[in-house]
Amino acid sequence: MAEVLRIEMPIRKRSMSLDESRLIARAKEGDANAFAALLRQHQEMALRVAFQIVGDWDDAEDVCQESFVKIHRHLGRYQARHKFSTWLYRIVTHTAIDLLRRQQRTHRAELPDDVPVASEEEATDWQLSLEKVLSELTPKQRSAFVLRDLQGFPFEEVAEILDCSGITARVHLHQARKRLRQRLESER
Amino acid sequence: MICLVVKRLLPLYAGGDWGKGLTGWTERHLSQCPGCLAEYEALSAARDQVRELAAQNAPRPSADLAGRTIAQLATDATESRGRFAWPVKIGVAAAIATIVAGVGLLRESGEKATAPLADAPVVQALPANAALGEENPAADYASQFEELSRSQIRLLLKRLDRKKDLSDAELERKYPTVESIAYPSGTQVFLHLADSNTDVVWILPHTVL
Repeated sequence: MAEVLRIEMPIRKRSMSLDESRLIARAKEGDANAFAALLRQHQEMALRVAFQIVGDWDDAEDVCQESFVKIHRHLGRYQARHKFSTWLYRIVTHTAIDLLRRQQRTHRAELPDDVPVASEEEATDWQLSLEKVLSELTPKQRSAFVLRDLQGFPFEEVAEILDCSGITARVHLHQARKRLRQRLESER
Repeated sequence: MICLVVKRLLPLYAGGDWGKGLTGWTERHLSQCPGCLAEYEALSAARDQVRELAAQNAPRPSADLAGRTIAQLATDATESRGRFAWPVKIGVAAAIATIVAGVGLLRESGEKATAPLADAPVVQALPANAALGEENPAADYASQFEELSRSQIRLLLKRLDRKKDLSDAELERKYPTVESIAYPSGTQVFLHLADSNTDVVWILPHTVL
């Protein structure tokens, strides 16, 4: 009997700590230090997720900052029955998807000659490769793949972050994995 | 039929997004079917390759985004204090709230309108691949499955289509090619619909029968 490999996913611990609950409560009351401390718990991961979706560090920082402002604006409406991290990554992911869609629309339009565009030499080899591979996917497929396969979020949380049903999330993942497999095979 | 279903669903299995009830028989199938095993390995290799590409780079040292955000919020607050009087702010907030509520309602109604299968008893529906796999000749394995009767298929189609008044003749016309397979442990039913417009595999709970 041939051995069937099992997939080992990174294990994520995402239960809300008591400290986090206190920070949220204080941030809701207007404590800027508590809000900053809350964001610092997630900023590195948020930056990584945003980068893998938009493919550029500067854009990823913009996405995170814009998301954090949104979080501040809507913190009063946050309800503890949802995980804070899920809510935060939902905002970051959707902001990144919006940026990616805007960029795709811009790239489709004809750019004037004097608009500076980043040369390929500016990016490192690995960036080009990862970006090249992931650019095959739609923004939603790419986000689903990044969250599930690169960052190891549980499947149910991926659906929650993408704000879609489990069926839709499965379809995004299914298509993403299939397209990446075809893409990488064509490179060989 | 088994290879067809397994190959189409392998991208989910390869990522661990697979129902517990299906894992056992998928493993058994992979152990007996070189074609499906090769497809599974190719999927796993592709995912691992992308992970490696991502892992080759640690995140660049990030600026203090939280600190920057706090500074930006403070600046925005100072600027807006000088810009608007309170009655204007309240008016703007009310207008925005009305628009957001309206958009939310529209979105909700739009989702309901464009999701004809939303309340169908469906676990998953996946678009089918272009290439079909060969049948697995392993009789002992294939015998674990049963084909649905034509009347069971008709029942499922009516439920999926949500047009319970479709006659048998209309169903035949609409879905000229329907293949099905039921998993006998009583957990899953696969339904493959294929014609010139449709090529989908549905996975339904056995309770729909």
